[in-house]
Amino acid sequence: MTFIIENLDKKYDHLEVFKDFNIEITERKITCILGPSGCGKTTFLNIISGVIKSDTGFFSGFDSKLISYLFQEPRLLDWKTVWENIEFVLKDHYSKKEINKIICKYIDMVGLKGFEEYYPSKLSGGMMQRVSIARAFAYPSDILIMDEPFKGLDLKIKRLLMNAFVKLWTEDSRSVIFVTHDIEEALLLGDEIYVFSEAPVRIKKHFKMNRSKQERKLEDEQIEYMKKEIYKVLQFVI
Amino acid sequence: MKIFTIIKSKFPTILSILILITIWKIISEIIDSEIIVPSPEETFKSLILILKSKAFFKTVMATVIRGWIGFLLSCILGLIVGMLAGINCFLEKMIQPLLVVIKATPVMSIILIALIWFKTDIVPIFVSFLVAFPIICLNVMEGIKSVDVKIIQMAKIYRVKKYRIIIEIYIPAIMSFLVAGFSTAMGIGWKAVIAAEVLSQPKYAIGKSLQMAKSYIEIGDVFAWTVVAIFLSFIFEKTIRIIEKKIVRWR
Repeated sequence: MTFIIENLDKKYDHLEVFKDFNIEITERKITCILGPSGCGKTTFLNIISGVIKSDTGFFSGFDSKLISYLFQEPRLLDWKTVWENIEFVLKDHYSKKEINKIICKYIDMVGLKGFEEYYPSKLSGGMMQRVSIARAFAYPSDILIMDEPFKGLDLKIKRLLMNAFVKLWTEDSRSVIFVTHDIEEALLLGDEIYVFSEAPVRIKKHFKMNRSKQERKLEDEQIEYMKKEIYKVLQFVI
Repeated sequence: MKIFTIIKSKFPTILSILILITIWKIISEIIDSEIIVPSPEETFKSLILILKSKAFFKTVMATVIRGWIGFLLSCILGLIVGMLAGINCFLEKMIQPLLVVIKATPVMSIILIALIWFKTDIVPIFVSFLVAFPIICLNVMEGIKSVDVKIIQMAKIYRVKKYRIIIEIYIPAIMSFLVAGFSTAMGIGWKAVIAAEVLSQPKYAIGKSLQMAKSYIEIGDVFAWTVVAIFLSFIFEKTIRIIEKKIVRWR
């Protein structure tokens, strides 16, 4: 099954962000979206997640689907502990017993065992983002939306978070829409890569990755080739 | 060892109180008139006599209860109005001028008007309510506005139910502002209650006792009742601080 968006229109005052835009997103795959900054990537995610409404557009496959969202910032509740922050999004979906099991599992998977009772103010930025990753995966979503969640983190923490993400995704391979600036990030994690143009958005390039994520290396010829191609498109766009 | 550390940490406070009493003593010595400035010992003697008197407990409790009723009413109403105004822009603009007017009205005017309108027992309650209400209301409004839109957006994407967004996001966010509001409102409200009692003269009241002492030129008693009022205010303040620590322990 695929998620289909057709004839999407969205205008801010006089700026046409989307005009007659079409895209297909494959289920249970990681779809990466690259594009120049300010082109409308976040608007695209906000439309899918229902935060903002499109002017027109046909959406297929999204009905009553649960969505979890990894934001650029962790967006945790300061007055709730790590445990309670994850519990907060699960309460309406599971029983108390199930919640305990799920939270334990995901806290362990993101490597935060022992920090359950910590308040966000006592955690580092990377740790907070790990809590928000655990929250996104613990939530029974059909689609996971990611808006540059690794942006601005130092390389070591970024690697750590990317590993945590791959580990979690491999387990239940849910549908992921992943917006990023980082071409290498997209080449390593994505199953499909879309390169957006500036507004009004068009799809400039569409790649399908053949190799499994574990086998992919940045030095591979095919990856190198794709990287150059994407650079070319983005440079042209910018 | 533990006692030593406590004394060490409280030392500046103790020193400050001692200096205050010394200055008071020196002034009373210079003026040398028990009717104008009674000495600390004389005040202490009056205080003991007041504490021993039969009506003391009743008097203090009557004032405390009046203050608390007014305060509680302003808390409930301030919370409701503040939350509504914090969420609704139109309501906020409507309520703003009213709050400004109440805040700008001299406490004495409120007391005098209340004297005309209400029975003697109700006057202090009304005054304490009116003084505390705008402070609490404004703090709640500010608390609501402090809630990050991004957090609400997150909760909506994760389809958290509306009532849980109010209970688990808005209320905790308001809490720290509310407690700060409590502290200010309590301090001002307490003084206003006693001032109202001076004029309205209910049967049992600290304000009335102050006024009586002044009428009989028992200045020692005036000072002693003032000490009682300060002490009670101090206890309320401490209680609020303890509540604050329990509520905002996540900081």
